[in-house]
Amino acid sequence: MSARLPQPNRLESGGIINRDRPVIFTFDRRVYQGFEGDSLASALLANGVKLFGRSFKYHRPRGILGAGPEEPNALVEVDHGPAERDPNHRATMLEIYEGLETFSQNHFGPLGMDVMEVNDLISRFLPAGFYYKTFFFGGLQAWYRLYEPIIRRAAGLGRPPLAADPHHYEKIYTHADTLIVGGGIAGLTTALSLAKAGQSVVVCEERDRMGGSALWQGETFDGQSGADYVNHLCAEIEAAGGRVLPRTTVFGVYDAGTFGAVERCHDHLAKADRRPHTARMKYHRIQARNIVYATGAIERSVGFKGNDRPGVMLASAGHTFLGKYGVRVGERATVFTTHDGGYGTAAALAQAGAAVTVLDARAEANVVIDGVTVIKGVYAKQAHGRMGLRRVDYDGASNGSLDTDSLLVAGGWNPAVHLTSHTTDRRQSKPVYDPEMLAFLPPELVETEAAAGSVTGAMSTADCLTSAQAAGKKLGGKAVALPTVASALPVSKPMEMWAVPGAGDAAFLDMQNDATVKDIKLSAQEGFKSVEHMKRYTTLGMATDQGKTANVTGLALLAAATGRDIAQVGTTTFRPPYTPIPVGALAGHHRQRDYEPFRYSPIHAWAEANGATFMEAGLWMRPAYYTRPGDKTWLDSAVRETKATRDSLGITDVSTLGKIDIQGPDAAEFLNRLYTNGWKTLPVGKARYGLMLREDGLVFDDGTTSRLADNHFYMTTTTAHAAGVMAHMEFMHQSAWPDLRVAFGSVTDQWGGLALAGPQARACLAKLFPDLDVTNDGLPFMGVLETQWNGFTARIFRISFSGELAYEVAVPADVFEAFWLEALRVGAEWDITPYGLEALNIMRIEKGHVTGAELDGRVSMDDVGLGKMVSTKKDFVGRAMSQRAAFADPDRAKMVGLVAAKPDDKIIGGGILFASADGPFDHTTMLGYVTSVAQYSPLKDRSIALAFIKNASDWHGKTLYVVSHVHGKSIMEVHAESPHFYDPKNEKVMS
Amino acid sequence: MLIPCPHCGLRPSEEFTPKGLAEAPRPVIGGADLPEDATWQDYLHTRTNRAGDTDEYFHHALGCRSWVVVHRNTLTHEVYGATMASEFWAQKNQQPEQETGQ
Repeated sequence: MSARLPQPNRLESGGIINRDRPVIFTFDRRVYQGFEGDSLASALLANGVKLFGRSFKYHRPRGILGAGPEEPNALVEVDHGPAERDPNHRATMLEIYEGLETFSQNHFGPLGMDVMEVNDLISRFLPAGFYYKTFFFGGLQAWYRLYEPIIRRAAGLGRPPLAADPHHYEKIYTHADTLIVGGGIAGLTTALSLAKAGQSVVVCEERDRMGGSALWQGETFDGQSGADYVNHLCAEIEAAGGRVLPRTTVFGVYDAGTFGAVERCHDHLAKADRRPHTARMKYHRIQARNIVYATGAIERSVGFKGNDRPGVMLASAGHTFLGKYGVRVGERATVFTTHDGGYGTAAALAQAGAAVTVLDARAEANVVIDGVTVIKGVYAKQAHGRMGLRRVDYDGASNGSLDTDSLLVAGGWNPAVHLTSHTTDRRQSKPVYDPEMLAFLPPELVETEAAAGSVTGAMSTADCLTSAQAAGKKLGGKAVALPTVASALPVSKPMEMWAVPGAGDAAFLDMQNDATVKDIKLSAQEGFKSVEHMKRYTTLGMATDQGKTANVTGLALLAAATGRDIAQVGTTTFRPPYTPIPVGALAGHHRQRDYEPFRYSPIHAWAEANGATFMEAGLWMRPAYYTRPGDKTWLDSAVRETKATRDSLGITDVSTLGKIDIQGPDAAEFLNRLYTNGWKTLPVGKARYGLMLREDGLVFDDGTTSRLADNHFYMTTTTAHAAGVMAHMEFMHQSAWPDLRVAFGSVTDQWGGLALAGPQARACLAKLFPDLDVTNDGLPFMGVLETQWNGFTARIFRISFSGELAYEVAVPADVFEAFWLEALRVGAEWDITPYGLEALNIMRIEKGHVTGAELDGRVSMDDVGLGKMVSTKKDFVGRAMSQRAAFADPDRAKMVGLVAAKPDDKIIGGGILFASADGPFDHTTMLGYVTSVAQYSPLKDRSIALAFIKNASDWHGKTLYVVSHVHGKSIMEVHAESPHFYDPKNEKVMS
Repeated sequence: MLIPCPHCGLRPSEEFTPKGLAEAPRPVIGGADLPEDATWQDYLHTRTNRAGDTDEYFHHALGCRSWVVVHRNTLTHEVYGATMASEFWAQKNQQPEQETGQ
């Protein structure tokens, strides 16, 4: 334990801080001492600090306004290195711990001498709308280059961290019968009532501990202190099976009983006390049948000149610092109140030894407190003291000046109705203005909702408890005995005073945005009379605090300025989140490498160990090429692999293709309706290439499907469309053809597959399956055999994507790596060469086979040269629409092959085709576009490509020009020909 | 949003993939269908996008893989229920005339 340092404003007793546990922390590099249980705000106030930051626009010196989540002024940065620089912490919510380092924000130079304070001196020239009006001069360019960078630097809220967030965040589902938002005395009482009736309850409290105002108001409950009674309630709730979550903000209300909440698990702990690998925050997705809004109320200030001076704060804040933290905010305090509630604070301060004067706006006021001077019928006209309050002028029934070091303003209470407004769309009603209470109250609640405590407008603790009992009863709770509350806190409805007479500039409403009483009047005067327009014009209610202390006052003044009732003006819409939440908490572990899962082939480890470079194909990681000694670039590898395959024998992994097993008496009929071509006549032991359309007639996917038995088919899809094809098949089966007796499932992960391709493929296959007849008669092109390999089922398909004599062999995924290694072993005789996607791409372009680059959702069967694959004798998906006249238009672009004119030219993917090298190169002259490019084709000894062009066959043998507007407008000469460059008669695949 | 999957019970909407309004059954193709047929145009392209009660296809892709038709209100977000897509059109056809096409 370190030595006790003097804390000038700390009382010797009182509060719920632990005076036996001093805590050392820094603020702007100065070292201070507070106690365990302190917030940064209370600890600094205890040390006599008044200045916490600078305001957003005018850079005015600012102190503390509130004591909780509503705080607009005292925003600080927590800095533990570049990755852990965390801006915009409210000093009132930040709990201190040993070693905490904090910094004030938004000033140029030291906090006490901000050069940007000049903005304050010229503030009369910087009213609402100033930026909009002024910086049109010089046009948009001037705005982007000159004005905006300067303004952005001058007006900011903290600095972002400079490195990736090192923390862990977790997402969890939390289920409950009833969620109670707010762990004050009302929320806890409601929770106990429900828990005792057998409901599972979760109470979320955004502050460091449960209890709300019971922790500082000084009332007793059945003779117990507030803190003790709160502990007793929590223990009872937990004994009844309920959960109590402090430091947990319910930030949003969503459909169907879904709520978002963030629990802060680490931010209050010293680094040494944070368990490694545990979450900094937990994002709770709460699913609850019922909700209780026990969100309390937020006090509001009154508009008068200088009401933002450090030392002016809300009465409840001053009372909280005294009652909860044992900090007396001033020795000569002034309370400016519009209702009886201010007297409770005055009494508490007087009892703590302060000299207190009450300025009561009401001429008629009846509260009398020993030792407190009361001046009735007056209001605070102006507060003086740039770096700390020194004097307050009052006016009204009498006038004068008071020397004072703290001014506590009690302007009335705004129930925290924010969450009740998140569901406005559904309930079709907004919070309701009550002209008696001078406050917005929750709208009519549905049967699964209840409100308890001061959010209902209840003012005394006894009334809050009664409302809690009613809320519990509404949601099926048991009656709980309410405690006897001993209270010395007078309450009354407030007098209507949003701003004092004559208030204008420097009478602040929204401290965070520096929006003043004058700005509201200006907004109304300039025609921004809708509350939504006023908000955007003045920025009142924006930024991190969303105007929690300012909104209601702002619209009351707007109502006055436009001659309307407050109810007519209405509120802006409150939207989630209630208070700022880190994006990291929402992302959880779904970031960087863990953003999406990866899918790996069964031979991924082998490929990794054998020089493979991978590329992503959907979620799959597929080998792009295998680097061997002598390969200087990826193209060297791809060309070497291509040549080896064309000359002798290649092997590639096709495990990632989508595979769907289809069974049932109507399986053939089902395929008939999915594919454009016919399937009923396909014999057992044969495969067929199939084309699927979308219902609008455009090509969807292609692949081969094999008949393994009369009622048993095995379908393959492209890697990219596997999931989409599966969902499409399920949709058609279930929505259109539920009578078909067919069942199917994905077996993609159950089978591993390899392709043997090249002139020696048959020899290799024969060696792998010595007992099998793999001659052209025994296994002809498009033939399928099911056999055994070492006791495991093996399916052999004689199909080819590369254009070579080729076989695809599938074995169960578990034994696929062993089978792959065996193929490499027996293939060594022919120098078997593994090839990746790049080599496959070269070969399939040479062959004129299409992939997703061609089947891009805009092409018809005819466009890709497959127009003959249509059976006209049956219904199939897309049939009707594929007969549309537009699809027969000869002007439609169709597939063509391109060959670079110069050997060193590399055709550019996505390039546009033109007939002339002279231009213009625009949409009026464009003929087509390039879809797939082989940077080098061994067959043509130069770059080739597949493209789409109008009147495709007319261009065969002619010259075209490829222009890419995104690659420096280079103009490249190419020759067009049939896209089937390689073995157009299919002699190799049939050999 | 929670969706009452007829097979799995009440499940969060993240498990589902929406497809769009279920406003007409897929036309049955006879011998001489033409694409200009209004029934095909309606099936593919015509959507009322009504603000209020709607029937929408959802795929329980991260669950039982059923296609369901969810009955819900786009104004209030209330979900009334869900029917298996395989039963939806048969049930709808059995309903008396005045209840359809409202």
